[in-house]
Amino acid sequence: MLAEAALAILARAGEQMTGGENTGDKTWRYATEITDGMDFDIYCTGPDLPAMVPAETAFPADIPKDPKWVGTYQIVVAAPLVAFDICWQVDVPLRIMTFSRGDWEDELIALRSAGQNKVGVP
Amino acid sequence: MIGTNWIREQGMQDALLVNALRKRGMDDVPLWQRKFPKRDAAMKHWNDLTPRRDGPVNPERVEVTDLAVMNEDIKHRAREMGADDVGMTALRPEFIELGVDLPHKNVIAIICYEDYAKSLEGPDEVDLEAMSTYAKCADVATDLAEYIREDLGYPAVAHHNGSFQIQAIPVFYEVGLGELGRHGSLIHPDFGSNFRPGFVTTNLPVAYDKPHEFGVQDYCLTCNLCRNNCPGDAIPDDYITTEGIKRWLTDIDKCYPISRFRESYCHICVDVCPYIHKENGDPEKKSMFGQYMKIRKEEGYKTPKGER
Repeated sequence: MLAEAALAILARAGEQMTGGENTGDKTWRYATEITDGMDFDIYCTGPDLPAMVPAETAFPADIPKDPKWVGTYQIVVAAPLVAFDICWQVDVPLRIMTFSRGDWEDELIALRSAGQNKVGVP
Repeated sequence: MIGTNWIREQGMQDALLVNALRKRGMDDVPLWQRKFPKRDAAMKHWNDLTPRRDGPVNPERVEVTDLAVMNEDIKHRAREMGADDVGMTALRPEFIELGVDLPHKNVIAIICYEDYAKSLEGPDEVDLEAMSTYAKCADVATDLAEYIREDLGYPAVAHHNGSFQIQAIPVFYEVGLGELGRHGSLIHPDFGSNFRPGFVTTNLPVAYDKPHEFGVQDYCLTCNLCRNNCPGDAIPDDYITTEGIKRWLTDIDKCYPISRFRESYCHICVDVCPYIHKENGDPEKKSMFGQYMKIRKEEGYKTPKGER
């Protein structure tokens, strides 16, 4: 739900830029401020902006089996610190790099619902 | 009860660690590849205890008529087994690893102090002390779970480094063992962050402990010793909030090159924390803290003007 909220916000208001780890990557970014003026940054990197993420998460025991694995897509939410970071390939269980519970989850859902105007996209 | 909290995996099951290795063209973690038999023995010890996490429950259950008395009994027993502090509360989904079903109502947290004097003896001694304390926590958690199952007749599962499904810091806070500090570890009023954890989840009825706040979160706003001493610059100025608690999330991408990708153990953020003596007023620990900070300065760290 959080990843899909982030993607919905980026689809609606994200600014597209070039660049990423893989050749041909683009980055969609949405930056705003939340409570107390804290920066809130959402971005997705990949060949395109997907609408959804895989439903399955990789089993921890499978991670060491493919140490050279590189995600095709990555979503990061920094609020202002990186609290959410997932990577995935199409039709392959996603990998959670970082997830920290926090008030940012409610902020993200509210941003999705509110259609808040973006500010300060560098 | 199904867990809702993602917990970072240990070792090569951590996707971020594997990704960081890949980006550097590395295949394994230097810290763990180094030969260090005493440390390896401690790690083997907690792994050997893993099969004893759970076991048969005595069908003759002891009736609990006074929850407060049982709380005290468990604390007494855990201390006899080697714990240095103990607390307990109701188990909640956010205390449990995402997707894991723990059929228990309560969680008991135990901590064992790791000797701060080791910080003066170098990284190897700190590493060995940390791993030995983890092993001690595994002993206490295992013994306590067995006591609850076999003597009291209630289901109980031990959680320790051999295998665990409990998110430590929110439980520690809830049971009154301390507050979260800027360096990302819990700060205990007597031990600072120099301790290691163990847990037991159980259906044993007990009275619950309460959070104990003593000003850590405010103090950390202006004390920057851990942030300024971190060799990886991994401890941030900013924080997120979770249910009113400030959380200065350590930048793991910056932490791992120092804490994992070298052979030397890094424990600096904990050992520069003044709470090793600040709240308990222990003059011996204060003296050791002064000696440790002198070592830090000899290694190039300088306290910024105007900061503690």
